[in-house]
Amino acid sequence: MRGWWVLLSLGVSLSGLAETAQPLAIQWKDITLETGIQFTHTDGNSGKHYIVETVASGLATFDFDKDGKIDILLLNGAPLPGTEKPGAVSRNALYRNDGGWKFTDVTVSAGLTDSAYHLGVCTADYNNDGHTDIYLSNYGRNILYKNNGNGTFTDVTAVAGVGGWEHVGAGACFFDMDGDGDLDLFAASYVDFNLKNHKTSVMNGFTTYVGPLQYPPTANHLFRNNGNGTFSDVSKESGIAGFLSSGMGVVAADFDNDGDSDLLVANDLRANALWVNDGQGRFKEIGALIGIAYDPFGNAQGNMGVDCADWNNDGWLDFYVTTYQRQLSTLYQNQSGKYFDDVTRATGAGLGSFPHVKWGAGIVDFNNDGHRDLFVACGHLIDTVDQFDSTTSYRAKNILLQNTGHGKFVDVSAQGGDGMQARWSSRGSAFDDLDNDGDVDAVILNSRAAATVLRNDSKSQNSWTQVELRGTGTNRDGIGARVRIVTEAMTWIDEVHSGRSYQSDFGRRLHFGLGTVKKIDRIEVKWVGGGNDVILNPPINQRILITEGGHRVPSADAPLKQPPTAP
Amino acid sequence: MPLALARPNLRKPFRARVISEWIKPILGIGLTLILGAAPTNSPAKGPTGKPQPELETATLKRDAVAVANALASQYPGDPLVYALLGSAHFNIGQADEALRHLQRCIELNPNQADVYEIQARIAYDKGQIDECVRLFQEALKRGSPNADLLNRLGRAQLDLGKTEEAQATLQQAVQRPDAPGESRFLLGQSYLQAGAFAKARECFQEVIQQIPDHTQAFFGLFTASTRLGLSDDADRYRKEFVRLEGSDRKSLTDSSIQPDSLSGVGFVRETVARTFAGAGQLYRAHGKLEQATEQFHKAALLDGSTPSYRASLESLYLQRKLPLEGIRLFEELTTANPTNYLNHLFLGRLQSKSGMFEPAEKSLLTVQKFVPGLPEGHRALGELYLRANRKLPEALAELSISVELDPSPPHFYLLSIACAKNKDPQGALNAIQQAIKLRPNEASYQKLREQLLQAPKK
Repeated sequence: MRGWWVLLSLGVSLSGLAETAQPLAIQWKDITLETGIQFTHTDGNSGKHYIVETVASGLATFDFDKDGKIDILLLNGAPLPGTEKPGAVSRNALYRNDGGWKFTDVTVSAGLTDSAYHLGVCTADYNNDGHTDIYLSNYGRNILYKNNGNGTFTDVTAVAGVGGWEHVGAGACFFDMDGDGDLDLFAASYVDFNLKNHKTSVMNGFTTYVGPLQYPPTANHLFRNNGNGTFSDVSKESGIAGFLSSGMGVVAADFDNDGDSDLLVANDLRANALWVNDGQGRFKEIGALIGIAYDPFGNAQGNMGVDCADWNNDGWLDFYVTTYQRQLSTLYQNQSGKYFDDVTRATGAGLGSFPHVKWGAGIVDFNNDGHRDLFVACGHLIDTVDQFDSTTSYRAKNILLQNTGHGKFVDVSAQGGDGMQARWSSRGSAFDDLDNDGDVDAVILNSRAAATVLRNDSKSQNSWTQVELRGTGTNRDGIGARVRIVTEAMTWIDEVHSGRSYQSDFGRRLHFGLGTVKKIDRIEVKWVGGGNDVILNPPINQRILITEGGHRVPSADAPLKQPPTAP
Repeated sequence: MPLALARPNLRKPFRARVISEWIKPILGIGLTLILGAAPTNSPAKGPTGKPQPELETATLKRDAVAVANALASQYPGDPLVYALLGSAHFNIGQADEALRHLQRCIELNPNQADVYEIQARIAYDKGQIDECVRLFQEALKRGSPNADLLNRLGRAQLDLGKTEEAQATLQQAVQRPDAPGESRFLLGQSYLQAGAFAKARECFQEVIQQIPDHTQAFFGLFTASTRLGLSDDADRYRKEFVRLEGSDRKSLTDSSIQPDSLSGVGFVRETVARTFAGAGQLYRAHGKLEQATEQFHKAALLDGSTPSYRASLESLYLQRKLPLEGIRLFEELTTANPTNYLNHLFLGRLQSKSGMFEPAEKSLLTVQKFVPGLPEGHRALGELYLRANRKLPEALAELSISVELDPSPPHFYLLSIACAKNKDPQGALNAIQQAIKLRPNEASYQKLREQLLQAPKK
């Protein structure tokens, strides 16, 4: 434990927990070289400066083979006109987690060898067959891969009907918009760019990319799951298609605690869109009304990625949006579902972010002290920016902000270990417990470079719990389900998401740092479109698998089952 | 946006300028008054004849730094030279190099408040907000506070989450006579962020009284009204915000797709022109009038819309007693860009001062054809008639219009003379009294008033 962190805990606490939790320094170790991961990202650039190069790509961490270890899918771009070279191959890379920080590239055997230009990804078991599927949001046509359950995937896009249009893809997410037990699909689009309307600009003498305002805004797509392996495009009737913008990161979350999943879309240089769900899959855009569309000064920011979690443990989900250079990454604090306050400046949630372009984001408790911290992936999108603007840089260190538990964040990037010292032009970021040791690790996709795997080496004695959900009547992954961890000192909430951060996906297994708490009173699960389950006195420091219906809220005299721990 | 809608005001660029007025714009972070004329120079072209903005930009940036370096080697003890060097480097994106030169400037003259202010702005761009606040405070300690500086300090304090300190700073700003609506808007923001919604609302309402189309103030009003539970007001303000925001967005989008915007050359030309103009001022201060003229000429070629470059050229040619050379130069500029009214204006003024009545009248009538409501155009034509003692009723008419368009002391002064020459002593007295009211300590005004009072009454 670092001595100076002790000082931070001497302030007046906002919760009983903070008085006892040990706020420990977060330490990241870059272990990429040990893992066997040799993926190198390409954005397909050839000096022609297509806008699509600037926004590539995201990644996903998920357990594709159900072995209890989180695997990694890294997205890749593809050669754009001008970069065509005979034999040039670029494709995504699926790395199977073999344990012990060793990963094996199984892309070919898995059948994920398409050569599309990949931008965003979300994963979930869309057909409730017990295996996690993959949806890729591309420049070109999107692709849906069905997981066959034997280590292979099949492209079912055409059959499913979720890829029939050309676009510049962005974030995507599976969610059950109508509570019918199967997962629907939201796919954002960036701008109406194609090779024919391509433009460049010159900035301070350097030919470079144009911004999103140079192209017409475009509509996003929403697909209703028909429950038979196919989807129907309901973009128009749902209200989604009527809103043209420049979509980037997306996340589905129940911000108003009304039991259905709403949608937040971060839009680049345009107002963020918050789509409130009526529970039947019809949406109304209320971003400006509720205070999440703009910064507090009323300016539309260059919004990139978005993550969602309850940063201040008040029982309401907040949003953290990453932004362009000379803007602060923005923390929108949920005020009981009625509106959002931009608390960036009051909390320090934008520390260190102003000079950089920011992408991936995570609101995650990295040191298990019970307070969720912030991770921001940085790196400018203009590859020549260093030559004409030394206030920023193409490659930049990522940012780690530690939640003090007292309503503030502290920039601990410099003390965050060697994993925080490297400079890359990062894009997507994902956070999961890759070694099942009870803390959350990180994987960062870096544009035009190798990916980075960061092991969480924080020396924490704090408690934790991880919750994995298994839907039976509702969607099998429990996407959208709300989990409450109730202890004597504190209550935490979280929700299962598919699609978040910058065009990425992670965190299917919910992770809760518990600080010095030694006993959980109960875990409550509220399933989207389903009932509630309650588990009493579950163990701490374990991963808990909760199956829907297995722990129904009991009648007064009914015995409660003990939860199983995951393998 | 409010600034774009403001009536063109030519008075400020005609005044003698202090360092802050040229260093800040040189840095490219000041607000430039764009009057609509296109630059007069031709874009650099490659072997194929196609414009090559990269080539032009590289050449311009190189030239700007070379000029600043030449000054530094000639006048190594002049702190302002290092301010200029700092500016030139900042304009080519070398913030650290810029800071080094600005620091040298401060070492030579620690009381250079403007330079602290510029350092503060660079620190802000680098995200070093704590340092930015410190430097702004240094600037305040060493110089007289102005609303813009206080606004920037207040904004930085807000960004640090120090809302109480920001409020104190911005309270100071709004009490200044030069406080723009922006000061009150930022004060409203500080209240908003402190949760003092009623006070915030009050501030934003004052802003829109002053600037009725202040988009962000409507957003602030919407937010504050929402929090206060004033849903009807909130809805009204939100709708107005949406309308204005849409209009702003359209303007932004329209301007961003213009070729000059895409090439970025226009911006580079403007910033390099400021460096040349700064060099011109320094040469002039050191008595090197020929070199000063050369620099202002380069600035004028690059930037056809900033009046002060042409005004400096005019005064330099007069100071060097070479008005005919000046006329030749402005004739060249006019030939190269016949639609730039500033070229005609300064050509006409020099012709007027050289006694070339007919050509001057022709030039100044051309100005009125391009910009009928330009007070400086009417003033120059009126002055021509007065100077030539011809067309005196027309002189009176022109100067009356200039006063109507811009009721400034010099315009009242000239109107007074025109009245006198048109045998309207009471009108002359009234006009000079207006001038004195606005500028009581101006000796020439007092002298004219005395002359008018002593003149025999008919």
